[in-house]
Amino acid sequence: MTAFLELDGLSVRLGRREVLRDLRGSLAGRSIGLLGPNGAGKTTLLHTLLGFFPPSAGTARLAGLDIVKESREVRRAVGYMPENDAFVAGISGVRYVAMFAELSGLPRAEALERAHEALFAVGLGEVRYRKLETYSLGMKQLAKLAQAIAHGPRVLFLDEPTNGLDPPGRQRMLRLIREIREAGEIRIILSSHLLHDVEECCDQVLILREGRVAALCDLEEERRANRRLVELEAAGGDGDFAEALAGIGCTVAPGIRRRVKVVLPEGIGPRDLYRLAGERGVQLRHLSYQRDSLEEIFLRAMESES
Amino acid sequence: MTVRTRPFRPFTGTPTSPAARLFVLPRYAWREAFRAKAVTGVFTAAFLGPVGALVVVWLKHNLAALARLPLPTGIPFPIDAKFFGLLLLGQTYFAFALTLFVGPSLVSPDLVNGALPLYLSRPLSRWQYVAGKLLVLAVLLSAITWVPLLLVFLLEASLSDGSWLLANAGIAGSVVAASLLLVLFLSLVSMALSAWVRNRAVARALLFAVVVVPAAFGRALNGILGVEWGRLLDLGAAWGRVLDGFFGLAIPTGLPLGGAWASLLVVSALSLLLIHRKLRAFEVVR
Repeated sequence: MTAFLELDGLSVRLGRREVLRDLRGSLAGRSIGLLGPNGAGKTTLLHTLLGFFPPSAGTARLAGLDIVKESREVRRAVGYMPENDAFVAGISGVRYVAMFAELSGLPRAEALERAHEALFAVGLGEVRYRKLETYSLGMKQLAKLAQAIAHGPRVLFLDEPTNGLDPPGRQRMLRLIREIREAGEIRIILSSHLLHDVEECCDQVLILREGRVAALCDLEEERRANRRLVELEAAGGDGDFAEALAGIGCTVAPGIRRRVKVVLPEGIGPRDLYRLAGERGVQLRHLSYQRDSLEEIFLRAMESES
Repeated sequence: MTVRTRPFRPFTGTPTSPAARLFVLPRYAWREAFRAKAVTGVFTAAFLGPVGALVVVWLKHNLAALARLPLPTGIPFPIDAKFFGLLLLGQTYFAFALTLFVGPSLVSPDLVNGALPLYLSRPLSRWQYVAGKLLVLAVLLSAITWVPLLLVFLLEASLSDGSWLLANAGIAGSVVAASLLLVLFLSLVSMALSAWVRNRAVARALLFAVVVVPAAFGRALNGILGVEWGRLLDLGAAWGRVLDGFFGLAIPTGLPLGGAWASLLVVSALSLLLIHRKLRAFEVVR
């Protein structure tokens, strides 16, 4: 897969502080998560990609565009949903979205049409003529998402999109982000300190810590690998179930409390394990996949850095 | 209306030109500005002077109509540079009033509501944003200064014989140049104050104070130190002296013309510097 975001020794200095230090890496996922504790440099990285802060060294390429030399083209390709409140006072939701679509280069009529569509898509269709000041926090978040997608960007930057949302609002926002990802037209870069949000919406993760790359992880790859590792608890039978598993190509290692860990070879799935157990008269009392969750990956990245 | 909910489609059409995008900001801002009755009122009242001038010019060349009016001596003043200068001086008050209502709302709400990162994440540079916001006032102020005054000039030129145009051709240039100076000065100062204090009401008060307070301070300096240069702080007097330079109004300001120009240019430059410092997507705390 071609790299979508390439970081080439990117460093950013704000005042006397070096906020991003020699970031290197290549990401190709449809949806990239920027993960890290508060102050890790996630938002600064997004802002640098948008051209708000000039790199003090190195550069980056987004969708094949150099963020320094082709900053305007980058901004044309991006839809940005900022972390903090960002609205224009005194105007309605639909005019807010239409205005930013026009500023992105859409003709007036098309901008207005897309503003209506975007607001309906995020669930604000019924309140689109209300002034933005009257929106609740959750509605403002959705309006920010609408203005970020209305002009049909190639890349969507989402900075802490679930900030301040209640659980139903959070679920709705995550569902919308997954829908956008699955529509396949827009690549997403999502910055969050919430592991769950990133795990739900992203297939690649860049973990930052104190302005450095702490880990680069392909969640899809991890998920695939995890599906190959199962934990079993068997009872009864002739006692040679482990041997039988080895016979079909599995690697078996003893676990705790009469459980065994099994690495499944290509072409062997849980259904084959049940079939084998049935043939041997073995009861499978427990079968679970290993969950090497993003939390574990994140904690490992934090530990290895410290 | 049926709305197609297909929001995730890319835009494949031809994007609008940067110049067209520059006018998006003023278009939305004007709509909001004219919702205020005060703005509509001041803007409408600002046309009274130029309409009156048009009527005077027309009457001056229409003796039959003039004969029906109780004016035995006709129009008792010539249509010359002084006429246009006084007309522009009158429009200055309306321009200032309009700036008081519109100027402070230009950028402070964007700064307070965090909208600047949204603007600057578009293919729009910081200076294009500033230019777009300046256009809001520049167009409004132009509409009440040089545009109607040029109409008056053109009417007079068309009704008079060629000798008037030959003798007074420079007036058109003076009207445009002096008006543009006023427009630029008011727009920059109001935008700078709006960006600095980030509050509409305070920016409005401050804009008023910028004209009144330094003038009083200057007079006090003159009185205490027995000097004359204190008048340079009086921006109203400086503008009067510049107008005098353009139209020969003979307003007794006691200011040298160069000093008056310098006074206005220094304040404009300071405003530009303030705009440069304050209007950023994010302020870096050092």
